[in-house]
Amino acid sequence: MSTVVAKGPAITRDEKLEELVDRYQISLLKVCFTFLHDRSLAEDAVQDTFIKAYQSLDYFQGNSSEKTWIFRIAMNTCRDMLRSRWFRFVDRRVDLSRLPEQTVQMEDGDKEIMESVMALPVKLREVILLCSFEGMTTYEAAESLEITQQAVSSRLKRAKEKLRKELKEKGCDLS
Amino acid sequence: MTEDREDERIRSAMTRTMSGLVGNPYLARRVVDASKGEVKVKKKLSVVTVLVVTLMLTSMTALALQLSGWKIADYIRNVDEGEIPNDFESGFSQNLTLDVEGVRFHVRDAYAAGNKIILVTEASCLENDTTMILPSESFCDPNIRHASQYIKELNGVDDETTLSEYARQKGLSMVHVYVNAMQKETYPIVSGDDWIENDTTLVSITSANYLEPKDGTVEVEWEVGVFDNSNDESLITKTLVFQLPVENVQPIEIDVQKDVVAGDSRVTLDRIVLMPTKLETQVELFYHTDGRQSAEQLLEYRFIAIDSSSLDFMNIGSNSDGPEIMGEEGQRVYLHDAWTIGGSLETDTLYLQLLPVYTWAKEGTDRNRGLSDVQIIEINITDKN
Repeated sequence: MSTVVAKGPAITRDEKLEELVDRYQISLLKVCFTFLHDRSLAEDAVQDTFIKAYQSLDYFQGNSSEKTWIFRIAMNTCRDMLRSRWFRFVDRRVDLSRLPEQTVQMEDGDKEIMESVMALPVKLREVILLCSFEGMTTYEAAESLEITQQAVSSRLKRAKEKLRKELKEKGCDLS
Repeated sequence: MTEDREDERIRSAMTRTMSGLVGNPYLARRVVDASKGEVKVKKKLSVVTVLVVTLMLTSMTALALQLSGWKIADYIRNVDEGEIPNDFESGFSQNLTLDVEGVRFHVRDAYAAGNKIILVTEASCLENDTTMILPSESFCDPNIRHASQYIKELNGVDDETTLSEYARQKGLSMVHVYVNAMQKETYPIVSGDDWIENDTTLVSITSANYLEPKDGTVEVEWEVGVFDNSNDESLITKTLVFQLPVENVQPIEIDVQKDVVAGDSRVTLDRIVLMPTKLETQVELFYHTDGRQSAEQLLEYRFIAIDSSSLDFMNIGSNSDGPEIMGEEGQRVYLHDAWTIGGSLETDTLYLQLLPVYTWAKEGTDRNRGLSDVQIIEINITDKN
């Protein structure tokens, strides 16, 4: 069985996969849901992401961080799904009632913010997901999206402007 | 500081809203099994994948040259898995061209039937043949996308070569464009696919549902545009409105009146309406249940067409927003859904299975139920009124 050299003792590929799944599954699920507007597709995208990651574990050089690497795979998987014929048969409305019941109390404006983020154009949604939601730096987001840091900053600025404008129309704000 | 506060607000709102999403405790095991081929992972074969596979297979034959200049019929036969008559002709003969920022857009083929339009647009540079025309960067980032995904008849380039690398090797510059077609003043429900012919010509096929023809024609709004390379959000567009004759389709209305069960809800499928065009069969379903709660539960289910021999989905597709509640009469709540089956419907019997959307989208059809299960409905089309 091949091993993966990581910081600390070498671990098997299967152990490394379990570590990745434990660490990123929920985050990826939320990001993919916001991207694809569909829980089932999001679950598929997460599974596909881990399959691709597992298959390329041996080639992961560590030139980028593990997080940006796995999110890059997820972003590309979601982008591919957006193009697929199958996607045409999925309800793409922004409809939060299709989410499972929340386990924590929602606050005023939460719903409007979530809907506005989901309704952003794909390019702007990506940067909000990675920077605002996942807390990545522009450098990390640029690595995940394979674009320049300047492009990330510019899109982030436009995304925020759009969100502020739309939320204002809904009587909410981001502060 | 404001930025940080805004990010925190977005993060906490999204975290609370999605707090009910939970992970799959068996995911790691499932991934390992899937990678080793021990469980079948449903692959939602993308149109692009099908296109690439088709092209790879075909390029090994002497037919390769015939693949240039694809029109609607070529696309449907080769990519969209639909079987259409050999003598199919769209009948389109208008010469429609728009020039935007040095790019010439031309309608290569168009067809409208029933309530749907399909349009094939080609785009190439007016003055030189050293510019590769690409779809919107949102869907086609040349630094990520592989040339083999988009370029037809690609030989001698490995599958990992990105479009950017390919363009560099060939000395091509790149321009991103936008193509859309819809009925004027209707909600644009559009899907499509793109490919590149001869390195520099982009071909884009778009389809839109829910046309409302008037006097046998539909007013199509054809919108094209070119993205400004220096500002990736800036798009310069032009629009041309033209009339397209709509092939008349005689709807087949079938009274069904069969009961099925979905979760805790009993559902009666009242009737279906089939609109068989030469390219596909458009299907509308009308059903009802008792109680608002039942109806809302049913929004999570769809009747799906099943191939009775393989127990797989038929070649289904849709731009529909999914089931919707149409109205109420006392306790009774009426629902409606619509989708299409690729190719013409050649069988006398349509088998349907009512499945939770999340289940079938993930797991496929429910093979354990079997055809004798009450959730399979057999509709004899020849039994129409």
